[in-house]
Amino acid sequence: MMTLRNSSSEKGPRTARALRTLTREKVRRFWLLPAGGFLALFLTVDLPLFMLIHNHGETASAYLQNMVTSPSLLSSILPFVLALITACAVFGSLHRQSSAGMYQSFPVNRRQLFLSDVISGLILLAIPIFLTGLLLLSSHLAFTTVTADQWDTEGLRTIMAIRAPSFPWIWMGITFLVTFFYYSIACLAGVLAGTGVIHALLTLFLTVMVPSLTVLTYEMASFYLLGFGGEFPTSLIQCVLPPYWLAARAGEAGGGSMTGPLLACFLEGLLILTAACFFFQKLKLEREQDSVAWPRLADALVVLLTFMSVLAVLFFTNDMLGLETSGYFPLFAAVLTLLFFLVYRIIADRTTKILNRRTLLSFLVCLGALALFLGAVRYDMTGYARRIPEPSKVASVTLADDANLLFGQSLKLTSPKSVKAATKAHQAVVQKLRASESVSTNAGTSGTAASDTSVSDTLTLTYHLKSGRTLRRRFYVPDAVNMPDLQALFNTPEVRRDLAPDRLLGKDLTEVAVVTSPSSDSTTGWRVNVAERDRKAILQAAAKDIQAFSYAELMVHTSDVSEPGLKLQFVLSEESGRVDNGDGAGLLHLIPVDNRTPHLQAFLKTRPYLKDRDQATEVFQLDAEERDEY
Amino acid sequence: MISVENLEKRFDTGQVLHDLSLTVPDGSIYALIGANGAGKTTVIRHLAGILKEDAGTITYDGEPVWENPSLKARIGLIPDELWFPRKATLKDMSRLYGGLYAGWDPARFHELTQLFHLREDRSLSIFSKGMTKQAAFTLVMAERPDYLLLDEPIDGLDPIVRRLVWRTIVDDVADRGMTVLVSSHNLKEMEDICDRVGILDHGRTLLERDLAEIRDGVTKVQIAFTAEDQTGWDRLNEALKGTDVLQMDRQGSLGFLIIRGKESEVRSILSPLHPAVLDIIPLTLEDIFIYELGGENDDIKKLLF
Repeated sequence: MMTLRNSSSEKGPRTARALRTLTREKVRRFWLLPAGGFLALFLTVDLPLFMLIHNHGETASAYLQNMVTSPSLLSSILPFVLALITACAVFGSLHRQSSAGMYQSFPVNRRQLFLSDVISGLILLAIPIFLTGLLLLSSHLAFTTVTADQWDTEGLRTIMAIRAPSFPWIWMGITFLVTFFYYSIACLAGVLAGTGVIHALLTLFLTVMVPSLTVLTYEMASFYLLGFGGEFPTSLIQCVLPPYWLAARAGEAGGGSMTGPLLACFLEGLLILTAACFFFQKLKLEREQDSVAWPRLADALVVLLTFMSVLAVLFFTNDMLGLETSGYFPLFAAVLTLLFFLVYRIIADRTTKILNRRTLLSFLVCLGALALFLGAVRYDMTGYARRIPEPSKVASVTLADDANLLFGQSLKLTSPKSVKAATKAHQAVVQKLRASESVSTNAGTSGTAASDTSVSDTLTLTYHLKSGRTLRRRFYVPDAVNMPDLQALFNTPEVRRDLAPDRLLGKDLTEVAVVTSPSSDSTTGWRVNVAERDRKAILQAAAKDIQAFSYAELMVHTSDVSEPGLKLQFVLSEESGRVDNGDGAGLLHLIPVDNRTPHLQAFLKTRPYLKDRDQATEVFQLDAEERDEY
Repeated sequence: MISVENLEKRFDTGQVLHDLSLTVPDGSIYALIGANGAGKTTVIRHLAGILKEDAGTITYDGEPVWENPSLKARIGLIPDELWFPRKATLKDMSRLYGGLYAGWDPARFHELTQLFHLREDRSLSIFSKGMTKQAAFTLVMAERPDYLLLDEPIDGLDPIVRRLVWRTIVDDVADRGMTVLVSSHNLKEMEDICDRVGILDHGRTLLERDLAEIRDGVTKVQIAFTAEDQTGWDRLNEALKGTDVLQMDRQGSLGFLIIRGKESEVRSILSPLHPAVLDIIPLTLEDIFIYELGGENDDIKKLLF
């Protein structure tokens, strides 16, 4: 008697059960991954913490600060590796015709199959993080019995962070989210790639692609394009890759809210997984075992990789081969493009038989993209450097310099005279740099290398046009002291008026002190802090002296900060927003106390700072190492 | 009923299936015959819902198979190239299949493992090719599928195991009305088992026939006359005028005829000639396809026989 099932609903696929079964099967199959992950996390997180508890070592505390208590680029390497290995294992069956066929023939649709892969991977990743978190919880309990005086300052700071009851949970949450983010990229790469090796390489590429491309194009533009440079567009990288953002946040003094970056990690991870799921559903299984299962994507990757590789080689070999001054630059770039293109094309197609119309077309696209970029940057075909606004169209100019001529301030110049002086100085700088390029090209040497860098400066001019647009140019100006147009700019009444340290009073001045810069044959120096009540008067005295400085004196005083002798030192906090050394130490200014600064000298004679320097509160001896730093 | 209509598939290397159609009636065993590269595996991968068609339709009783888990739960597949997770045992696999297939029958699974002498706790990776095929067969048959797709299922199996496999399949067809599609590049292998045959050639359906229908309407005859009967062959030629002789061969004193018509009709024509030998012999698939293909397609003949 026939017992054929007539309706598919009679014995349905039991979707949830099928999903559970597939997930369980993968977790069971790859159980070694969480075991290995736990061991790796134990070695990098728990063990140093136990070492800190028992040895109170400074090394352990510094390490833990980077690795555990605050997210950093370093601490995201292990999550990346775990995510990559897990995704490669879980999606590995996709890259073999036989295994892919088996899974795809099971009674689940592709979305469910993808979900089972993703969920099993997430479980495999969560297990070691959770176990490591449990050990962190136990170490947290151990800290409650320890008195604070057993640690040094750094150790205490670390312990303060670790002792917070929420710390293990926060660590688990952050680590899991960062891992989740990388895992989502690895899943997407797994779906796009056709083989295991390409899966791993593509994950690496997708993870570092945005920052690498940004850094390369930015550095190339900064190197070649007159007037380009300044603030690096880190925000782009941070937005695209939240773990970088987290690292940047951790680097900020005082930290910052992690909620935004973590939420971004989660949302971007979800978005990437959604995209991966979409591609998975559209995947043509017959293309598995090709390098990339999407031919058009393979073309795009080949073009992008060639573009980046050529830029990288040009950037790093430019000086070595003297390409900057050589007429062979276009030939070198073209041959390099062809070489990289062929290599990547062979890898993508997994054959040396690549000569066809499609390859030719994508090579032309690649060559065209590079020609456009290098044409715009190397040969300034867009006229970027020549674009100097008419003074009549400029509402204001913001002037900033790196040599501290302006005491870390940006001066906003609005008077027509100042604006005209700024455009004129801009023009002169461009001419000088062009002439320098021309000379170096003819001589076959670098223009900047031949210049006197001791009195150079880096100027940033930001034009606010009446049309509402902004035009920003940044120049490294060698031998700036001998440029009459720059001198004229710095001598305009508007600049002179603002060129005074007393304007900094009440604006994040962290320190004002009288110091001696040690001479070359001496290893000692001293510093006396200026009392709060005297700050205004001493800075006003300094302002009078500085306003009387000629442009050349101004340049020399800033370039001679290491010259031995008595100095007035003041430090601007980085939090003021006007300065950013990246080290959190603030920006140091030194004004000489000698015949060039009679008002300053006169003021100091009326106060006891110099007379009683032996009894000063902060007299210190400099050893040789500190002197060098100083 | 499995129905494939105007199926088209193109790989990056070129067109693989061209306007391919075939019909597998419920409860039948359908042999999909074709040379290597004819497109058999590609057709089966489409039928199992692994590949998506570029054009055309694939339905099981009117339901499309693509992204249809309910339907896929009723399909059992033994692919040409088998794969099991590394170090997995039959027991592990039974757990996986049991969780995925609603029709999973543990008793049947144990029964089949005993029939094929397979150890459930041994890693499949140490199984021989034939044993792996038996393991796959055991798992798929324990699903109790309504539709069974077999891609070159008996490659690597010894004759005894082959017989066991076919007997199990035929039993399920008889008991449950299971529908079977089996691919092979060897027509003779399929001769005794299939009800319907489809021949693929370079991604096209060359022909598709019901064997019973063909056998009913065509008769193969072995005929001979005594040495004294000098006019026997002339009388035969005369008698055959007006009949549809599909093939006629003479080897010495023996003649072989394939004639369209039922056995009784053929006997009524030939018996009055008083031949020394008049035997109705079984029609082989080879005979059928030689005349169906006109005996002219040497490439096909070479590959099929």
